[in-house]
Amino acid sequence: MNRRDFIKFSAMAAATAMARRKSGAAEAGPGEASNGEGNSPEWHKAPCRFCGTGCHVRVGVQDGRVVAIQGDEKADVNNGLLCVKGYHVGMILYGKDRLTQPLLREGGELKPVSWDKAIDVIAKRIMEDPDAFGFYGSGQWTIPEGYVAQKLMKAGLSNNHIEPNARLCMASAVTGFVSTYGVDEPAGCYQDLDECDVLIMWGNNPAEMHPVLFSRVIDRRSRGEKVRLIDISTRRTRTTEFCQDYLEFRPQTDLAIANGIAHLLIQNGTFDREFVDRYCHFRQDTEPDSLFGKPMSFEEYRQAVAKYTPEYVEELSGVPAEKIRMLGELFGRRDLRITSLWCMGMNQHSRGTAINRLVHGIHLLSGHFGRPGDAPTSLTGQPSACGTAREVGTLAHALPGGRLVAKEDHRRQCEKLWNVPEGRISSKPGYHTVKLWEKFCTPTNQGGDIRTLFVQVTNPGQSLPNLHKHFRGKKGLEDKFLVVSEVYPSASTELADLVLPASLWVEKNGIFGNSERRTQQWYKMVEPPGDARDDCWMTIAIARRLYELGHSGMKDRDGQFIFAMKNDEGEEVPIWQWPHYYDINVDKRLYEEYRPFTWMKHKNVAPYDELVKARGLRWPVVETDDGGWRETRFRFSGFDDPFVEEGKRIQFYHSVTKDDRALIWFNPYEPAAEEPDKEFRYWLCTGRVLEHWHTGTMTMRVPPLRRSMPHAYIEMHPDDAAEEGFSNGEVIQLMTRRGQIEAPVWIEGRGRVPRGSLFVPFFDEHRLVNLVTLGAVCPISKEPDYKKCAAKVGKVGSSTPAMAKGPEVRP
Amino acid sequence: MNESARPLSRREVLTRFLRPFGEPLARTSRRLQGAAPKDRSENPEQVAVIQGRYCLAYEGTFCSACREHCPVPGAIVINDGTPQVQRDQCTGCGICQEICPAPKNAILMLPRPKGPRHRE
Amino acid sequence: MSVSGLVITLSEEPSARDRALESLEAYPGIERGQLSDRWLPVVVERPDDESGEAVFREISLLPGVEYVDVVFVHFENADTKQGALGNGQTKGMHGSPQVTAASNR
Ligand code: SF4
Ligand code: SF4
Ligand code: SF4
Repeated sequence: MNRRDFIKFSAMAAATAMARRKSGAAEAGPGEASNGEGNSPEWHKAPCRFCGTGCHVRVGVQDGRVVAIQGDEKADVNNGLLCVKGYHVGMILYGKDRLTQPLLREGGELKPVSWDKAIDVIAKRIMEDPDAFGFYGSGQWTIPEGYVAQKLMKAGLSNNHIEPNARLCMASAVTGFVSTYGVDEPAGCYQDLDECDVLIMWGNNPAEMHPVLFSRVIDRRSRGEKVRLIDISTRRTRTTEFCQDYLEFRPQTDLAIANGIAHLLIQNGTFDREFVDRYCHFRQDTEPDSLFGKPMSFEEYRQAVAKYTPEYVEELSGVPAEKIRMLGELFGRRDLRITSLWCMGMNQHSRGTAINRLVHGIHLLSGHFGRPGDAPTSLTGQPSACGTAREVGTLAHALPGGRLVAKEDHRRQCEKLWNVPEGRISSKPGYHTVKLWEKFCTPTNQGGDIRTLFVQVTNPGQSLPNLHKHFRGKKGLEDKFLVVSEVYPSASTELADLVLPASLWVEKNGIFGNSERRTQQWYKMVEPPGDARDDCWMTIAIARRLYELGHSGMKDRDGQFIFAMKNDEGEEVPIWQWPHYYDINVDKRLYEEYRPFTWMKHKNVAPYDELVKARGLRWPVVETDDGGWRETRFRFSGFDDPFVEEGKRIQFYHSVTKDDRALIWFNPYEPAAEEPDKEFRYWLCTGRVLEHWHTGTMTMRVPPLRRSMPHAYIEMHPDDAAEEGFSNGEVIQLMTRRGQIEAPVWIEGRGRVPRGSLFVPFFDEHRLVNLVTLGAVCPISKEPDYKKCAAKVGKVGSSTPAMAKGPEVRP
Repeated sequence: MNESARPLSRREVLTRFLRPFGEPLARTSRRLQGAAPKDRSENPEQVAVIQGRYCLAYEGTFCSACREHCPVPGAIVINDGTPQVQRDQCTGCGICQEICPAPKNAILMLPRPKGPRHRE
Repeated sequence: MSVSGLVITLSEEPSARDRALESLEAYPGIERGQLSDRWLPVVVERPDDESGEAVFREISLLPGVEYVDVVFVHFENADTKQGALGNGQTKGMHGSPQVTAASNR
């Protein structure tokens, strides 16, 4: 056989082997399920369990198991595409160590108990001291789960200590929207990405965090459309690779950059005078900071931003003055459509509210608002941070439908809708997340007045900042009691006194609300494993037990149980008994009960039955004359929003100033809460990676995802690594004033930090970066900054100053 | 993305010209996971081939895990977001195949046709 | 010289499949292997890789051909890059077909 024949032989051998393989199993590409058996699975729709993009998947179910996942081609959000997590989402149900029975800690060990016992234990803890109870939920709660928790706490226990983990991710976006427009959530939608000419990403890495969304933009380019991508960031990411411009700024100076743009718009006279005159006022902060600040005149605003010349901004941020001018010029052009995107970079910021306001401000000032493609758009990380945390208002200060506990008329409205006696809702806001955990981890006799905490659908033992202070402090506090509802053992269950096994994703009915105001519904498709049960049920069962124990708050005005439900025949169904929970569609009833709340601030969500038919609908959803339902893509814009008065181009109908105008804020640049110094000379930034969802409890149990990204790493600049004497892959120590961790250095890996910076992802429970993060919070939103603190690095085993050494951290 | 004369990204420059130093991450990873230190050394008899059909990056979503974990800088390069194996650089170690997270593994290790050694 | 090993996915529809097989006969430099169900392994030999790619594209456009997978590529000069491995697939979504027009799946 000569060489040429040999090559041909090899080619044929490879092709034949492949052809055989293909004929053996039905062909399958990404997103297509192969199903060798021939009898096909039954297909259902559901939103993906993971990120706020809110892709829809088709779920193939066979013999009571999820066997296949496909991208849903009927879904507007993703048109059949999924990211690597989405393709594997079905596998999260089948990790080997799913929790399947309630476990109660006795003598230091978790031992199986019955559900009755578990529910009874919680109810008695609450009865003992109702005000010392806190509920810590999630932006991954379904809307009904959040709603029952909210109602139990505020309308039942008259206790406002309820928080979602979403406080850690979008609280600053909320305060940004509310202080600018008087009402939460983006005005635009994903269509902005299809129509913008310029897309500016502010500390945002959608290629990894909202991949399917970002692919919409990249796909436009591959079709030959021109769209200019600008990455304003502190670190090169996968997103950077697709951008024409990369503006690297010194952490925290995004405030200066935004002000620099505002200054140029005014100085060059290119701001949109007409838009500003008709639709805006100017605002500044009070001393101390407040959500709504105080008015300022245009002239005062002009003077305030005048200091931010391109040269001054360069000095602060390190971004060349000509790049700042470039941004100023782009915003000054009316012929371009500009969309800004942001997520955790702007939200997890010790001046998070301020930077959110400023970016809205430059869009308003330049009139880049309210046309498709002209939008300041905040993305949410979690699948229902908008739907549950923001809209249901499961926050310490909020009520459903954009109401506030501090306002008497708001409380009365909600009490009426809930049919509970006047005065039932407490007027005092509860503790925000960081405070709540601080109180829980402080001994009771030292003011730690939260004694029992119930955690659902989140993993605070890994995701809270400065874990020694905010989570591990609980250890050894005898009278503190932590209840964790989870699907897998986690850093949180480790310290839990009671662990409740939960149903996950399509093991239960659910409704999510994604980043673009889209409410999405799915049905239960498979049974949860063992004795795992729905979170919604747990809350209702606890409420019922409290009712039986005689807690008066569990009764409404008519003496009925607050979660009483009747079937179609009008008979009461004991939904608190698990075997009867699915006798009726509890989700639907709770959702329909919740819907009227959404009418109060024009966030009208669609009826349940409409959601069943759709791949999600974007609120406000209003009934049309012919009895159909119409969703809204562009809020406040006359051409699309049904609540804008006839003939108006733009109307901010929830305006803070009650005159249909939005507020353009001035907030100054202020340094970060902790900046590098001589000893701790690096900036430390934390974040996610494409393959893993948050703390990895689910995705680390999906083999392909774990293989692809098996552990956390420390991203470092090659020159810094060389200077420190580290080689690629070497396990090193990372220290801050709060503790230390060990992880390998990764150079030229996924992202690239500039000199003097480090990046560590937080998904790895064996390398908990949150043991070292700072947790300084934005004064208004109370959201912690996970993106900035000061750190140093060293060889493993090298002696470190005693003060820098935290407790043992390797689990 | 059809931009003509696209300049090399910094990443491309670095991955092409920066030589690895020390232990590649993939090896550390095995150790950290407590996995048996399976010898993933070079295997000149095979070469990695990316099947675009199954590769997430070719399908329009984002992935470059193989590029990041490949111990030979430049053996996999990313062009316009999609990975390509440079056959002359690939040492046949198979790490990329091991970590590819696509629903159908997109990487095939094929015999490298170059000598009578391969004849069966 | 380039040698590629391809797997051609033929239509499920018998008459279309036959038509495809016929048209494949007409191609010079193609060696057919053993048909497995509707998957046909072939080897394409070309003097240079440019025309190799052209054949590959043409094959994917033949009626009755649903898809072409490249499973093996050999280029004589080592610095030629593996461009053909894109499988004739265009990246994309949202309106642009995910695969070439011929592979209507
Ligand atoms: S982009 Fe988000 S919602 Fe879509 S598949 Fe990926 S993780 Fe799921
Ligand atoms: S790891 Fe697999 S899916 Fe990801 S880019 Fe490489 S070949 Fe494609
Ligand atoms: S086989 Fe090894 S050297 Fe070759 S591309 Fe894959 S990881 Fe790189």
